[in-house]
Amino acid sequence: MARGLGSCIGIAVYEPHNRIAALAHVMLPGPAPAGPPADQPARFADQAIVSIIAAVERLGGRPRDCIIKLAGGAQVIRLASKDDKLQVGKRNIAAVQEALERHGLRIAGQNVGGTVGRTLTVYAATGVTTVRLVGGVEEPL
Amino acid sequence: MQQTQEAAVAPALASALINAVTYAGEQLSGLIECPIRLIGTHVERLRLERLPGLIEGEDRLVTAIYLAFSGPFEGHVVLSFSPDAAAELASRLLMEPVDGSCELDEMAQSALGEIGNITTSAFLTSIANAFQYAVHPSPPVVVQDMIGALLSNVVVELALESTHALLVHTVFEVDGEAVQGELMLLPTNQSCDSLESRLASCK
Repeated sequence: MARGLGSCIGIAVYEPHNRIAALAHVMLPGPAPAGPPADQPARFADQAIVSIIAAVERLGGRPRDCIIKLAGGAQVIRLASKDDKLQVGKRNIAAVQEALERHGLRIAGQNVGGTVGRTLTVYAATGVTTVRLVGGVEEPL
Repeated sequence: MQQTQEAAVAPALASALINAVTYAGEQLSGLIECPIRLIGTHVERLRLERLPGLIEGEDRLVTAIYLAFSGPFEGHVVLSFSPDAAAELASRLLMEPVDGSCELDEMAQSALGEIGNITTSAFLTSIANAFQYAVHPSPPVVVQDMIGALLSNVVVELALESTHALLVHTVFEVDGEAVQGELMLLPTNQSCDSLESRLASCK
């Protein structure tokens, strides 16, 4: 479960043949700073996807069979200042989408953008992925 | 009031920040004409993902007032309450009932914004006097959302420069536990370095 997603992107991954579930919580579009490996690679979009692919393969799964769904990338605080200029929510959405495409992975569903927080859940037993917007109910994604 | 053992925060800086929070509490108490007690006020340097509201309960619904501040000392302030507590606080200021179960109207948002303004301005004034800096707060923004979602927008700027941040944190009680809020101040690391340098040069 990835709770309280604002500008961050939750990436829910399910490989149905081997029933492998994974979830990443991406904070920044990246790239990670040069030099030694980033302290938390999954906070950056491309590194998060690389980590997911490696984890799926390590468990005997096939990344290209994965069902991938996204949630988040909102601008919860709207301030006429550098925060709006950063537009990290939008940049995170674009970075994750581009990175998935670069790795030959398809997005099966997404609930992204806007101005409200979300919680993303993937149920490992069934592969069902849901999203709940603030003030709303949990719904299939 | 304490510094955590693992934090590398200069005692003089921590003391100035804690004094500023105390002063902010006093001003808020004056605004709403009710005694306020600060609980667990502390200053620590910690990993961003360990901020209160990001390590657990990230989907907890809050009504929060956000301000940024800029100048030689810059960063973010988040003053958060449960929706019912925010409504109670707004109603005390407006001297009329405010319903916490639905979206706040313009008057209630304005009242909460003013609470954020007074609290933050008092804090920044205290810092400005201690360090002889001019500090400028932004207009307040009132947000009702999941605390994790709100904080993720705040910390992303800090995350661009570091994996850690300085946190000034307190919980305050109004009228016992009738209204409880949480104040988080997150200066940029560059600002903290600047303040510590200024402290060192004053010795």
